[in-house]
Amino acid sequence: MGKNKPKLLSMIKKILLPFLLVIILCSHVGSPGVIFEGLLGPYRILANINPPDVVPGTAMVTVIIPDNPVGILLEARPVYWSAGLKGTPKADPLVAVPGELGKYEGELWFMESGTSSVQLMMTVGGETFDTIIPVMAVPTAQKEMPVELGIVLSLLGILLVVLMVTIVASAMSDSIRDPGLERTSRTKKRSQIGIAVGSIVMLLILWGGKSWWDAESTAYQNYLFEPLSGQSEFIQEENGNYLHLRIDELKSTQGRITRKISYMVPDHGKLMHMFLIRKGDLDVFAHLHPERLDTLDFRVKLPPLPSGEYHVFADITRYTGFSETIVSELIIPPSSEFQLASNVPVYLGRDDTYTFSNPISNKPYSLDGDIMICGKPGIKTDLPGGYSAVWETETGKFEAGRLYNLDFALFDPEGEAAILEPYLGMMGHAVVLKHDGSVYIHLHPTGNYSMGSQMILLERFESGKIGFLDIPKSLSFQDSIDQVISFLDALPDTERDSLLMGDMVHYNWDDPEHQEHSMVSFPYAFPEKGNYRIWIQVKIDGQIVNGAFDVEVE
Amino acid sequence: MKTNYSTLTLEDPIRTEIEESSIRVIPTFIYASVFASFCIAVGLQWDISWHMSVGRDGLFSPPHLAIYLGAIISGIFSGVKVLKTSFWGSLEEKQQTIKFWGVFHGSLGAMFCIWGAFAMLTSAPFDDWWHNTYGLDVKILSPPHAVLGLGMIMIQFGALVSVIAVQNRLGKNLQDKTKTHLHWLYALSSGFLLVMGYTFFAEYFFLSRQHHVLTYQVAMASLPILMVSVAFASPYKWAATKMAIVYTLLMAGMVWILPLFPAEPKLSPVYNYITRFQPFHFPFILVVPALVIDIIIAKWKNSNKWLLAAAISIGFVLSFVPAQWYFADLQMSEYGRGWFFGRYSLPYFANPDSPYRYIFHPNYISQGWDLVKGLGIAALIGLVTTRLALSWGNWMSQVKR
Repeated sequence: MGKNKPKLLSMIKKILLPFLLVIILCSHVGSPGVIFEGLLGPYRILANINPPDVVPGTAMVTVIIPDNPVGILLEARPVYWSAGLKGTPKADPLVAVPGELGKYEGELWFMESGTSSVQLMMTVGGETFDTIIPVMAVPTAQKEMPVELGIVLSLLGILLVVLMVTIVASAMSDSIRDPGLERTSRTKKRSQIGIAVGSIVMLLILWGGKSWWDAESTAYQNYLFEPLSGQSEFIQEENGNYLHLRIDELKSTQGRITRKISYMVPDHGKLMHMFLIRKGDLDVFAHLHPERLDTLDFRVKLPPLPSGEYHVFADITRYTGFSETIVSELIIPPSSEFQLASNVPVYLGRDDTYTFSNPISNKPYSLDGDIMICGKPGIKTDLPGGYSAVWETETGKFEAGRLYNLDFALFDPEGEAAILEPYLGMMGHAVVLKHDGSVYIHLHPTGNYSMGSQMILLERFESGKIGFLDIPKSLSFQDSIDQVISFLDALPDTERDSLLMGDMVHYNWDDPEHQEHSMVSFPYAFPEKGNYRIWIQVKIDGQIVNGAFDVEVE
Repeated sequence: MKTNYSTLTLEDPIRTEIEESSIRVIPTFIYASVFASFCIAVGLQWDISWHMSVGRDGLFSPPHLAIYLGAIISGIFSGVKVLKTSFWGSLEEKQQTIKFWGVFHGSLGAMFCIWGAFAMLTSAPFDDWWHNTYGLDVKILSPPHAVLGLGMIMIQFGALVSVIAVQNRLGKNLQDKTKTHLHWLYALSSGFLLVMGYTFFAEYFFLSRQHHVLTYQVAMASLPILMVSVAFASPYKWAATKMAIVYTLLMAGMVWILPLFPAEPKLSPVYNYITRFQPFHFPFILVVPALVIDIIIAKWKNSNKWLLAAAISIGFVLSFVPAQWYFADLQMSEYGRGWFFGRYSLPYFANPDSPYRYIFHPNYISQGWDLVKGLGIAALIGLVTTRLALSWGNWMSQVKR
């Protein structure tokens, strides 16, 4: 038995790795950018992809290479899950942005909705290195016409209508008059009839055109990406309180295969990552992992959370690489607080966690001069268990749309660098929420993508499979995934972590400045102005530790 | 021998005189308009092929330039002609034109061309906005494309009207050379217009749909109005047939020429790994109904227009549908996949292993009573459009300015 176990494990690892490691690709609300941080050949790069908001449309790809090497060629192309590498045209070069060292930019066309990716290729000294960054291509925006364009088009439209009425009137009267002959009363009458006929015809054409336009606009709205929604319900039972989530069925006719809910696969070993955040004060935060009852129903035991209204964000991903966030709301009634106060012990899942922090203040945090990390000021937060975290930021100022590394240093109660352990296969997790709840994103040190999703796309690309024909049946697929989850849940932490981490290469910051403390860093670009709260989650001494920070983005 | 020699030398100056007069009779802008119409017809076929083969284009892609060249030539030549006549024209010149908006003097053909050029100009920012708002449309029919298409058709129609107006104005006073020029210009401009008329509705004319009545209903709604009016207005024999031949040669020519050039898809995803330009449709066998139209009009031109329309419509359906039906069979067979019919052509974004690639789509096959009823409806539609075409043709035969 003892000998067989590693063999079995390695076999399962081999077969299931692609599924286990598929990661949140667009597990976000209101934050469309895809951020990647990692190695491309010999260089560390930071990439920010702004997917098209209209499909077919263009994505903006920005790559920053801090080392600013010379003599490199950087190229990119969009590779679809459905079409593979062979079905992808030649890459376009990314162009160096003048005045900004090491920054490259380019536009890429995404022609279809669905799971796609950006393949970044760098040629250095005759060698080419590449990487795949998953991107969801979905139409999300309905635009209005700018007023100036509207005026220009209206004027041209009026000219066309008037000229056409003139043409119709002339065609019916003057055009058939012999050259040299003067207008008669008959010609004049015919001209007047022509004006009437022409006007009626043009009005009919305009009316028809408007109906057509409206119909196209409605068709587009039906084609727009509609996030999955669900209903979260609070259920009180003898052995505790539960949250029951029912996912609403997908109404959109788009993505019937790509967005099939039965194609859900585990991400970091969990089928669903659910975040509960109390509305308003944002002072209560929980990261839970519901179990699947059936395709659409999920359930999880609740920690002793105070009553109130909660944002519920549930991140899922699928076999087709398509992932998204199911948004719902939960109301925990006041009566439940009474029961919680009676100190009934709550046994949560081993990876489930919750934390209380101060209510959000309207004032942004100011930098604390007493806290200096590597000579830079930071924002310090005390964490449960005597630990502390410091957000290291040079100015404390953040601009919307700019790419930053959010760097956090972790300390143990003695003030020494804390030793970080992997939590759900990652050295850290972060959740960013705009105070009004309109922006939500789950971040990792590698960005909002992982080596795992790279792997599932790469494996598919290597297999040469294309199209949607050779894909598993949804019911048997769901069963086998459930078996994987129970297998993982039965594993001890270390074995499971090594399985989840897989062949992932975590870039070790070879940075002498930071040797004396543990850092976790999340690359992110805040999508819009406003106040945000950031929760970081790390594991120290076998315990999951959560901390919250606030920031105002300008 | 000697005498013959001297006769030849004597003829030369006479010929030059004829040429000079013919140039004066047919204004330059008419040649320019017909050439513009040609640019548009070729540019459009090329552009569709470009979208099937390369995918990515910009405002200044080569096929777009061909289309713009048509718009610019037609717009500028017509615009200059109108301005010249309005402000610097002689009384005689002005008397041959239409006065509009109090100041301008222009021929009807020139007015159509100017309208077309403005419509094409309008469609550019409209289309750009449309793409940014609703995504790049990979289809022929969208509102901004309709504006563009109307603009192109009006330019082509303007060219045709310009030709026929000269013809009507000069009547029998034409010299042979001028007459030949006008004859050619008429056949060419009407054929180019037919290419446009076909392409506008080409979404209904795909080979895989040609065993379905809707194809023929749309054909009866769109094609007789062009072919019958041209035939009715024509002072020359076999006008519809010549029009159909020009249409056939242009479209088939594009099927033969385009694949000679290499093409590489530039947009993802690519399912069909092509290396050459994929041509658009092989033309309809319109020569068959065109012959029928020409024969019926030659025989019964002066009879009751409704009866004439009924005869033409029924004749059109009875000749065209069987001819095209079996012609489609031929193109669907192995023979169709060679260079001649170009039915190997498939866009880069289509799955080459699709089970529907070389069959009539099962959703688009009409049989039995449905077929009979559907073709009856097609003939009724044809009756209406043909009747309209007769009035239209009657009007065209009177246009003199």
